[in-house]
Amino acid sequence: MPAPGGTRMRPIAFLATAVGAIAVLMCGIFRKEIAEVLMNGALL
Amino acid sequence: MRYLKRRIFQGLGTVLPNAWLPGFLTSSLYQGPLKSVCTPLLNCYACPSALLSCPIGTLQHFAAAGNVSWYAVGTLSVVGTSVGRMTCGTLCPFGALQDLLYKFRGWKASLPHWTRYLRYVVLAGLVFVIPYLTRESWFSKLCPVGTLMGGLPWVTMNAGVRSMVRSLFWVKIAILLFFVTTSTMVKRPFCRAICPLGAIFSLFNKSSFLQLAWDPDTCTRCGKCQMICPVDIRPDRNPTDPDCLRCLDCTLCPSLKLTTVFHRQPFGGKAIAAPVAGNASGASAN
Repeated sequence: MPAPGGTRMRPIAFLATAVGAIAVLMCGIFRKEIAEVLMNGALL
Repeated sequence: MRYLKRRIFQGLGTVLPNAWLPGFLTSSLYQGPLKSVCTPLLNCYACPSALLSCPIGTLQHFAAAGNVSWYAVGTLSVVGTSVGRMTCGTLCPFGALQDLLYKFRGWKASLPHWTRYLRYVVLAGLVFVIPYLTRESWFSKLCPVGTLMGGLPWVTMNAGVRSMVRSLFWVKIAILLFFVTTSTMVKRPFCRAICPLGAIFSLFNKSSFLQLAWDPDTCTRCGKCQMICPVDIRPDRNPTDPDCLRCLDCTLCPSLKLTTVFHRQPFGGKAIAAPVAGNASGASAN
């Protein structure tokens, strides 16, 4: 039985989402947001 | 005993992010480098023993400053892309509390289907739009997890904080009591209807690396998977349901198993079934 269409596209959707997620995380790290997160969490 | 492994993980998800016990002894917050890490759980960072930061609190803090926290969004996206909502089902402390509260014997009810969309409204409104407009973290002000893990301990052990208690604190207590009470009657009402973190993770359930697979040839449609499901869905009707917590309780049934997005034939020769038209949308409607 062949994989249904939605299932067949899922690996591509996963790879696209993973690349996007890592890019967004890297963007946050390069913008030095970690320091602000630390300050916000530590000085509530 | 069936759920022992998940209960152990839930215990670790409760204890490890809140392991700074000196916070309770000295009435102070942990201020070390771990506070820069956003936990993929709804875990209040105002708790005296909290080691990690709350991702929803972080998103609100940035929204109130007119920014978007790419770091928090990226962290949640990486976790969601990997496991979907699995952290909700296996690690979240408030989810664990709701699971335990539902074990109380008594009158039980179902949550209306439309309530699942409320969490997206909460995410957009209370986490992004209203904090941006008012410069205040409104979800944190009302969050029952914050009341339980941050507000109550501080009010109990610090006279200075106790003297600052105003009407908002009693509103928070009422919200917490509402969810504690309803959790004894409805399966995980907060996770399904309100939790903004669950709303973010549920966006990734369809394309996450870990997937739930269903075998239509061995399934008898007995519905026992819904009975044991902590969010009252039918995984046989839609294995990628946005409500699914990937707790894996239903994989006790041989027709359901955990697989990966690249595994086309997890049951050997049969494909992962796509949602059945007409059934999927009403999977958790009761």
